[in-house]
Amino acid sequence: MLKQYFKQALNMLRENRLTSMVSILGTALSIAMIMIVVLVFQIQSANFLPKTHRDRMLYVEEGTEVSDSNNSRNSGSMSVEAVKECFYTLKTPEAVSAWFNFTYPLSLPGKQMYKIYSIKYTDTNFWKIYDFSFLGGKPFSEADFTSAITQAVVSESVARKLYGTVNVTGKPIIIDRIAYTICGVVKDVSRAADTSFADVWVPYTTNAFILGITQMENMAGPFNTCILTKSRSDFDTIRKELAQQTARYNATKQDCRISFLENPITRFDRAIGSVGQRKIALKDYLLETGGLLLFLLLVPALNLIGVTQSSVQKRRAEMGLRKAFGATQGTLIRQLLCENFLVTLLGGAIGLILSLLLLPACKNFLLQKTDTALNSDMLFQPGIFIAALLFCLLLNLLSAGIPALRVSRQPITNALKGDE
Amino acid sequence: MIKHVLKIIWNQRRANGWIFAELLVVVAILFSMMDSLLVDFYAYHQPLGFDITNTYKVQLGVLKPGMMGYVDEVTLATSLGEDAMRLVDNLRQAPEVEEASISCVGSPYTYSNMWSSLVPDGVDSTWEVHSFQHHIVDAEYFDVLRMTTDDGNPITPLIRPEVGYVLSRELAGKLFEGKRAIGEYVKFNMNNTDRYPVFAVSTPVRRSEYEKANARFFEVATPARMIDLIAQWQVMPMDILVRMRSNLTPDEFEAFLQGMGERLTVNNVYVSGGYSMKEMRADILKSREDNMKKKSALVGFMLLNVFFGIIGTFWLRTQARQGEMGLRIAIGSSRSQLRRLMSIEGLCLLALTVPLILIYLGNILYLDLPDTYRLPYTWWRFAATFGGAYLLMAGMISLGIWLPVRKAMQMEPVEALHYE
Repeated sequence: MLKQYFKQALNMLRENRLTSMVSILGTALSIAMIMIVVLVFQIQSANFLPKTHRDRMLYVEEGTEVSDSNNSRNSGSMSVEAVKECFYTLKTPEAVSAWFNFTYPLSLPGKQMYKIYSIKYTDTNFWKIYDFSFLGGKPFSEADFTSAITQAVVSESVARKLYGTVNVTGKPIIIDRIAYTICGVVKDVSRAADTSFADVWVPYTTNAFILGITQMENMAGPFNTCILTKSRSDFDTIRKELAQQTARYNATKQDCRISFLENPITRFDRAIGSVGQRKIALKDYLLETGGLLLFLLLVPALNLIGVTQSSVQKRRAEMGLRKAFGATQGTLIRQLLCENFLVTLLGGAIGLILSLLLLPACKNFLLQKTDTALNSDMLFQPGIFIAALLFCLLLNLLSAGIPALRVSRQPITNALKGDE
Repeated sequence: MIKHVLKIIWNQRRANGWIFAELLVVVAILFSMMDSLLVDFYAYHQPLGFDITNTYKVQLGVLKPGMMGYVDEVTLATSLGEDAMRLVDNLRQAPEVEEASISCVGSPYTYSNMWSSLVPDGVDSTWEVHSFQHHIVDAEYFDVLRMTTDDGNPITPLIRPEVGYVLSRELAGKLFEGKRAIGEYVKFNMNNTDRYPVFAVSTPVRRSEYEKANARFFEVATPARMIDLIAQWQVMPMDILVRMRSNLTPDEFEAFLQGMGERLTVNNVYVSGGYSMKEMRADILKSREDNMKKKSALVGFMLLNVFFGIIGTFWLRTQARQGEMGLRIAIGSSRSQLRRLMSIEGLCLLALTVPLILIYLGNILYLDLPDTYRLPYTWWRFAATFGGAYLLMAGMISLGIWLPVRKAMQMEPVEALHYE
């Protein structure tokens, strides 16, 4: 039966080339735009290296607020003391890491340079949470971290820029007038991996200067934290545990109170646009993005309804005949939808390819960070094929549903006569 | 003629309904987007009040015990502030440099800002005290950023060797309504006895290309005051801006800094990095520009859709009406007349959306949705966006009709009558 429908649909496509092309291209355009929206969301949320478990992560980034009894407020990040008191002591998570970024120039001994790079100051848990692929050497060790030994992990491109090779383990590197030794080289990280992105990673204990900049009774400082949980069901337990830790820590202070607002937030929260200081409710996101998607579906659907309507009307007589010989209304609707689905599917496939071609070209203005490197992990997830198929179905229902319903409802006599 | 066309449209209302609905949605959204793009475009092309061509920002650092080249502070005869000022002098004296300046929160295109209250000297307690954006700068600052007074003269020659103020035109208007501000005195608050002269009034200064000028003032610090300030605030919040004699690529600027060698370190103060203001500008404006590009992409999407929709609908319609066309040709209609008839039919359909769009406009204006802060809603704004949106749509519709009609025209009257 299906085969019959498709045969008929194919013939109809051939018969009226111009309108077929218009329908297919219209669908392709719509699906391409929708898939770009979906892909951008996916890049913000999907699991890819060096972060294989983004779905089990929790974040507190710039999500701290310290206030005192005079109502003066410090919004931003926390001090190392707050990290130790509230986060390192959490029991439920698999691992907790604290970090801050700073920009400094990188130089070689005897050659002062001024171009600035992104330096991440972090701890050893960072390497447990993020799965970096090392081209040489290894991360700095717990002993390096505790004794503030100046060891640095550099990215492949930094190694090539400074030394022209990736075999740089053991070589010196100067980060803003402090001499470090390179202990490892990792593959470059995409900027889409926001939390783990940097050019150089070093133990935070080696930057006493920034560690020392604290305000509000030593509670506010430069630190952000990320938490890897054992399973997604632990999220609430951790939030509760953190609230207890925070209350205990606040009790030790005279005047100031620390709060992590609605943090820690999940990867999903971040993908829908939440940041440390402002959590976006799912409802607001759905309203905005849903509105955009609806618009992207609706305009082409209105187009296609017009076209399908006209071509279906031409087949009134055929429908009347089928009905006269016992076809039910359901059969006719099913047939029309199936036939139309072929067009939608064709358009959808073209649209999906188009979106994958367009995304790299437009990524600089679609993604928040410039020069984001895209890799196949980010793009080719099974989810997007399902999403594309789903949107095709929706478009199909929208564009062919009403004409099909209308033509199948016509009284047989009228249809046979060819009346409108 | 028009009445005739309207009658035709009414008789085909079934098929026209969908395309009319699409036109309505698209015109409404196109119109809104053109309006927001126009406001952005208008704001973008207003004078900024400063100029950053060939300007670079230099980041300062202070050596700490344990860092390479650290000089024991006890042995130093000069203060941190003096050292920083000498470093800026070194930069200024380099032949490649046109001018260099040191300021506190003076750099354009950053997120950091400072607000302070300012009142005219001699007003009574009924004066309402407001806070304005506050920059602490040296006399060279105005040369580096090429800032001018209202009548286009450079500001630097007006600066006298004492602490005084330069007000932006907005602020001068607020503080000294209608009076000449130059020669007047200002102070930080009512109870303050220290009063400072106003040296000059600058042209309006904006935060970035997309924002409206706001009231702000520049506190022109003497070298002694600047040295005090650095002693108090350290060098971190200081902005060193350098205007080069020629446009340098990042690599060339790097080479210039490297060529400066020892001159970039004065005791414990050193230059730790440098980048062009153009890069900072790009970072700050990115989200705005991305937004504009996304809007333009959507406009393109809608126009293409309208094109497809019109082609599809009119193609099927001319086919269905081949009999009618043949009849018209047979009874003496010329081809161009026929083409005109079809075009007018499409454009009439578009024109029918006008009343509804005007109602829509009335509503959004009533709800104050369009941006009237940066550009008041005037007749020319209405004409540009309304006319622009309809012209674009009319262009797309004519193009969409032209194709099917041309095909239909090629038919001979005899053949056409065949369909009748």
